Amino acid sequence: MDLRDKPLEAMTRRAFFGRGATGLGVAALASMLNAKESAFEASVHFPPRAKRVIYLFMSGGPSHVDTFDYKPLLQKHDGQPMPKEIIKNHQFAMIKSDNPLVKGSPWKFSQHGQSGQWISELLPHTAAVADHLAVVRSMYTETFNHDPAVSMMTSGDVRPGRPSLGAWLSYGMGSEGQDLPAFVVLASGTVLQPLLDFYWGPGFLPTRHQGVQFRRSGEPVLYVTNPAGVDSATRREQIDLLNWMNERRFDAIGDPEIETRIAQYEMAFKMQMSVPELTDVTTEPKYIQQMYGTKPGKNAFSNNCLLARRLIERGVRFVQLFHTGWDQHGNLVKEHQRQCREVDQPIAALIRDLDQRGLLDETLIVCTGEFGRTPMAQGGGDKFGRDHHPHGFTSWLAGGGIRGGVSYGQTDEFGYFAQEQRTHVHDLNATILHCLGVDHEQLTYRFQGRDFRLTDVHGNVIKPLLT
Amino acid sequence: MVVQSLKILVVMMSVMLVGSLSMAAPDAVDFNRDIRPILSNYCFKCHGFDETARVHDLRLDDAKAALVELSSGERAIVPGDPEMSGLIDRVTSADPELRMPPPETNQQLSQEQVKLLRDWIASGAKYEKHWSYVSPKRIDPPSVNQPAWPRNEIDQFVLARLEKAGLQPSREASRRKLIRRLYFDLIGLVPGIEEVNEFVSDNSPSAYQRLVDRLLESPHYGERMAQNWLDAARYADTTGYAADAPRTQWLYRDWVIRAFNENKPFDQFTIEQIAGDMLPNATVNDRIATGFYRQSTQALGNNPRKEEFRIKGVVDRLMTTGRVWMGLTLECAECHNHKYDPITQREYYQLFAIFNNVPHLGETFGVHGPRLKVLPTEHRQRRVVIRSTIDELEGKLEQGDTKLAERQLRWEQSANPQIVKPNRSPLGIWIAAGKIGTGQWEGSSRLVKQDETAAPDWLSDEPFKNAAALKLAHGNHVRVTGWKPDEKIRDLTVSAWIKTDDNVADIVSNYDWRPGKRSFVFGIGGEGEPNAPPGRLFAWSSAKTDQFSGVEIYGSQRVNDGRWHHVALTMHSGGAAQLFVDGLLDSDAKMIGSCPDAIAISPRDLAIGAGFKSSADSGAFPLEGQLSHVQIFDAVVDPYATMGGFLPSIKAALEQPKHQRTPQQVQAIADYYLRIDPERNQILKRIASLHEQDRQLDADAIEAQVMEEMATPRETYLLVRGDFFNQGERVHPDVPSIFPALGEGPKDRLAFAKWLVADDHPLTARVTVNRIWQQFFAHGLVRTDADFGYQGEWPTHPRLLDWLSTEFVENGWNGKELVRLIVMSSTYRQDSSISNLALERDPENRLLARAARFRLPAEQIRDAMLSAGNLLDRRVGGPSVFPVQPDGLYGERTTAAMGPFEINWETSVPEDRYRRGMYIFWKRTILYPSLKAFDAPARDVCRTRRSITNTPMQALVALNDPVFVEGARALAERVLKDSPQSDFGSQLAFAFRIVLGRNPDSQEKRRFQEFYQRRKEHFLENQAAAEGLLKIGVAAGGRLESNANLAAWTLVASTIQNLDEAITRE
Repeated sequence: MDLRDKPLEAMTRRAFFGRGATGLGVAALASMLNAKESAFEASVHFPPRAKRVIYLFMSGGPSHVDTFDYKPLLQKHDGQPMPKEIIKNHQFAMIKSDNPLVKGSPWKFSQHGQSGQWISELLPHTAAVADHLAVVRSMYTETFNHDPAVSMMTSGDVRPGRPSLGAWLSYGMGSEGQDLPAFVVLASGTVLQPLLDFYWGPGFLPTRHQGVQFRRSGEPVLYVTNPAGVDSATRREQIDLLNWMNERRFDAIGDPEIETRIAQYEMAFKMQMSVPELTDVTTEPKYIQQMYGTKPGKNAFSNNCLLARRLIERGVRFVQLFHTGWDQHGNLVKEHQRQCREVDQPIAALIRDLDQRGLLDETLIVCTGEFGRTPMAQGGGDKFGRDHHPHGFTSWLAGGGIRGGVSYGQTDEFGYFAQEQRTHVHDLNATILHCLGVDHEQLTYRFQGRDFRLTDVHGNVIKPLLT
Repeated sequence: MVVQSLKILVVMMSVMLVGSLSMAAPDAVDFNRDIRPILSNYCFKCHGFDETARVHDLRLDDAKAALVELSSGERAIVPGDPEMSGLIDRVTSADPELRMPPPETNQQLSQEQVKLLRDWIASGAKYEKHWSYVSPKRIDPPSVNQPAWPRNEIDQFVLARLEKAGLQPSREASRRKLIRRLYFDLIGLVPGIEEVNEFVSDNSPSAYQRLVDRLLESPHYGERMAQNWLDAARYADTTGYAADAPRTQWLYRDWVIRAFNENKPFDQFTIEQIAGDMLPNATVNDRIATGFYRQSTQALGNNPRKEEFRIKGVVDRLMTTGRVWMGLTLECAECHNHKYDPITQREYYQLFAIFNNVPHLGETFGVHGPRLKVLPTEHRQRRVVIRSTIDELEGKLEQGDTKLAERQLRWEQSANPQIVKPNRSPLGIWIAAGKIGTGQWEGSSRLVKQDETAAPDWLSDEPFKNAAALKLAHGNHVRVTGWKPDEKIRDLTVSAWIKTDDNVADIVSNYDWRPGKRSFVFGIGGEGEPNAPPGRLFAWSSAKTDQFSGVEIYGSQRVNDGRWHHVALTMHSGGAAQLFVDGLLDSDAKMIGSCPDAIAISPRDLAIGAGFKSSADSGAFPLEGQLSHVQIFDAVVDPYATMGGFLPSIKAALEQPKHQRTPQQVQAIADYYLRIDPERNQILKRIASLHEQDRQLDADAIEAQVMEEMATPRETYLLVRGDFFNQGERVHPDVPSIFPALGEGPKDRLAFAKWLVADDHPLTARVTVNRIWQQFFAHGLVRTDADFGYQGEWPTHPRLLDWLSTEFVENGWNGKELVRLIVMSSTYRQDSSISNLALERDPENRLLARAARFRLPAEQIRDAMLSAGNLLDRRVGGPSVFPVQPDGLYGERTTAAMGPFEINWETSVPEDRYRRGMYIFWKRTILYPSLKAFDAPARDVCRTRRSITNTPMQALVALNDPVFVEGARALAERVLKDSPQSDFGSQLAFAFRIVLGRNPDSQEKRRFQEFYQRRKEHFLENQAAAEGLLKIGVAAGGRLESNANLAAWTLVASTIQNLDEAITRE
């Protein structure tokens, strides 16, 4: 599906958009780089409830039993061995003991909002917007190692090589705007767990659908800044000269790809103009910055939440925030407190801010880790931690298409297995696509003779979460 | 609006596609071309080969089964009678209950497809074996109406097809275009001005051929061909997954380049990469070639699912083999029978068994496959010299020395027979002369009494008349606190006198198995580990405290016989460990691993006569018996010398009058003298130093990742649903039954490799020829270049494909001949311009009425940018390089906490920064930005074809990446310095000729001049801006020009280099 395969498409577009008096219809051409490519007609099948997604990825695996999944029984059994019938034949990532001990949450849980969602005291701000959230407490996934589990979450497969959710959306829906990529990635948090390119990779889709990572430091987008000594007027003239030359080439050669080249340079120029302004969150009013708790000049999740809002306002289809540092094998009390403090206020602010602007209805927010953490302690004493736990954990959704205040699914009374309304990663992904008006069974790409999907041959839309 | 416009687009596209398809289907119905794709796409999933997925017992992939009357009484296919055929009925039914494919699949056959099915059934519903599973037959090229056009057989096939479709080939491309095309395609470089001029002005009919011959012999030909092969081989410099640790692989990369340059026949090329290690008398290069199968990603770390990742590696080998040689999506049968092609899951695991016998070594962060130490060539030559000198010197020693007896006599007669002493002082001596410690740490040494009542005894047992030994019992031992040698311990010698009956006892230990506490230990019986022989010496030492990485050595001689023994251990940094008993080497000791370059120092104390077991308290593995004269040296010392001072037997023998000495005493004196003979020692010293040099060579050895076959093959089981926990039936190595059999003899990797390149293998030659074709025409003759199965596309020119395949095999799998044949053809030499008519008639250029035009690959874009300003370094091969990349790019994504795998991107020395793009360090998880931007794959998995896309990110790289800016400035400098005339017009023409191979026309000159003038004025007013621009990069040479002029020219150069024409192969 790259341009060698698609001269026809390009040509047809040219015929469709026509050529303006001053040359090519550049704005129209810019959309060529961004528009969806697939011929799937899902958007006519169900009306989209959300137009775009902000995906909050808590990388490393937050503890469900300390945040959203209230299990009083853990308190009761605190310090006792986990019942054998539950953990038999299970391997753990790090716990070596055959008799791991149950660990009750050190934090108090209470019910919040009219919906009465159970949320722990670790997340007071999130608790205050509880009625916006649809919380799925019965998630499960397939592996307990970080990178396969993240890969499962972001691409529907434990192995590298499949397109990421954002790439699928870029491929299927394109971007709403013309000067930014359809899929942007923002990262914050400690760098203990590496973030790998393929988490936002294109898989076998054309590479242009890969997520563009805005960097943590230096230029927000690689090479978006002109070289020293080149101002934007100079650059504009340079692009004009390039375009003029390329148009002449097009007239002589007739290859539609040359038109794409022109669009490519135009869009690059637009990005150069817009990205620095866009990423400067200090231009936001003070009360907004306070609401998010931004930390100007620092690499902070709060800054990224605010930036995410600015990105979706400018038509970016899919913004994925990775906040790392949740991998508390030890010292859970202190470090989970820190992690939650870093994300709690910004997340609530994002929901409120979007709501105030009337954007929440058309923006889907998803928040999840790659897995949860064991109800048993890893290590003992004050500095106990919890191990990776794929069998049951919590994710939540909010915004466009989502019924706020829903509590969906349950783990068993130890918080170990997802038990009621078990929800696989594929189900979550199917639901996300559904909110965007996309039938997950119809968003396909043929590669190596097979029609591939984000959800492989699985996935059920979780209807009770939907408005 | 978007949705609506796309609908229109889809309609327009389908109208045109129908137009083009009808143009492409002139003959009667052909089962393989017309029918199987329909059945495969819409029916086989439920009515195909996979019996586990089959519905209602209907099978449409098999001629016989498809005609059977079903339990419903229907017959799917009644040959000759479409109306009676259930198949037609179902695919046309309006009733959603009956319609096929079922409505929930959202699939429906087009009218044209239904018509094809009808016609096929009407004409007898003949099945044929899938075309690619039948060996290609040699056929003669067709005749054509325009015999003047074809230059070779390729052209006859292509032209015949064009004529049938009523199309004309394009005119031949201009010489300027042709030379650029050939340079990009064959060597990946831009032709120089002189080379273009020469070719354009050479009117000889053989000019083109001579150019092709020259390029095929260029050392850069191998580089260009390797680039594509390395994508398929998923060659990279790191392991992938989270750790993404560096892994030396470039020897394999260089092997590939050499193989293409030497034009290694493709069958040989295949066999060496798949099974070079198993060839009789396999050379180092044969083994390096097997690095092909060692490129799989490999998870490292403290991972309990090691086996899972090993299996993923085998799965990757199979997938790669399928794509590269067989054009088969083998991976589809990992978890269940293949849904389309006739490959069962069982057959998949039979293939799996062939690749399942590679050792998987190491633990946690050290997990790895087999490795081979390879020395650089000059080292190998040096080694030959060193070793022959050693042999010579050792020969001298063996021959004996006639003057030796004379010297011994002189020595015996001298007043004080000398005693061998260590050539340096020890770090510490413990338990000597009635003292606990007398070395550097004496103050901190103390006797640990586990049992207060058991007082230690100082004994004056033989041979320790003057230096009492310590009797140890009840766990008593010596503890040395603050054991912190000032320098790293590289070489090590530990020696002691012991007398014990113990099976297990530590003599000296700074070692505890707990992470962070590992160092070295020397003792008896290996702390009771199962693989350690009791009562024999052992030693371990580790380079790291947190994980074991170093040497284990286990002795063969009993030392627990209750008699005094002198025992010693030596460790050579990075080399061998040795054990000595009573001054003599235990040559049967078993060594595993090699000594650390430097031994880690554990925070534990040093224990003498005991060790540690998960506790800071020494006292584990205590020695019961007697101990004396424990010495530690941070050097390799002659163990015999460490016995020094305690040789009463020798002393006694010497005191004996000569004639009264027993034969044993005579021998003992002679043995002893040999050790102190100065002349002999001199030779020994030289030998030792040569051995040291020899070892040093190994320090520079490169570890190649290679294949090895386990002596006993692993048992292979079908893995149910691909789950490694879930073993099904046992399977044995074999190939799928749709193919020719594997042949006699062992069914192993070597047999498989030979089977793949048997002359009549239906797939290998076709798939290979097609992939090479793709390199020159952007598309293969089969567009699904890695899927020749049922779901693959029907070839655009099936007869040409078969002709080329048979030609290739008949020529002895000669790759250069194949390439020559392709590039010599008229088909290849056509112009690549696209007329409106051509776009309309054959938009995808399936019939090849023009040449391909596509953006250059990432590496070539960088190479072209750098070569214009003469920056490009054209050296071939060698370790990967680290050109300038943005600061902190790795740091913000990964961290030192990943243990030993942090890679700091330290920019290479200047002479390596401008190496060709293919030599850039290929880090899978964070690929070099300009490579990634221009669609270079991360090479996690096999890619037989790169995508070519256009993103704004590419424009940002080409305009702003400092490497590219520097390239533009270098070009500007070159123009201003070397342009034959110094007016702007001539300079611009010079720059155009360098980058584009042509002169600018007058309009172009005017536009560029305007741009240049305005920029120059701007920079004259903004000198600081000019200064800033010119500072970018490191290759700043002496400048002749004013800053403003050079800065303006840098922008002119950058603009030319960013043109579509500059980065496109036309």
